[in-house]
Amino acid sequence: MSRQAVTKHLRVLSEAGLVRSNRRGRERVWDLEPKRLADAHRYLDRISRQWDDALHRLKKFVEE
Amino acid sequence: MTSTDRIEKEIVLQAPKARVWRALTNAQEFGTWFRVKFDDAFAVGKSFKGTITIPGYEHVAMEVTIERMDAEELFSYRWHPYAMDPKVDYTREPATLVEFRLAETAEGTVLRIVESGFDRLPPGRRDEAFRMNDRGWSAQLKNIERHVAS
Repeated sequence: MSRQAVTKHLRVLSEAGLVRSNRRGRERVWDLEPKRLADAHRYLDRISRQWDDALHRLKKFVEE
Repeated sequence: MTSTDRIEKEIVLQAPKARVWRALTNAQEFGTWFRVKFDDAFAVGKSFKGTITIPGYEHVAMEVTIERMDAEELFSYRWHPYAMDPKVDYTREPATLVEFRLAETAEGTVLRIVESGFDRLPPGRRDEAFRMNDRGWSAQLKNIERHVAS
């Protein structure tokens, strides 16, 4: 993966609030945002459960 | 570490592929199990607005943009997950992509679902989803109760 590609990925994660960056001299240091990451997982868990319910209804619907 | 960007699901349905395909791509049938009412038939490249039919959420609109309909193979659309606040304009935000893939096996039709693109949602959107969802869930649970009891 190129340096530019890494930067692009980090920028997307940063916009999502999953990482944070700080300048240290000429460097940019990236840190994980653990709370954001936990929130993100919790969010996906919820959507995941909604899919489970929808699929349960789909199953009943096509199998009856 | 699991991905924060995508959800993957797989389910085996005891029904022919053609039957499952119709349940996914016929807007009325899709609406029956997804709990949303669409007026028009789905078509590739077009957007469709539906109304949620979950009690208490009838005022909520849901919009899907159909990406692909490859007969009995792949059905996909983009949408804004949890776009439940009528006061918010979600149209400028990135959408997630939902893909349904069908495969015929000896056990039945295997349906694989991938929803991806969550990492591109604005940070505040996830928090809002939790708030909206607490009410959404009690409504969903009532739905299921009714469904099982009937």
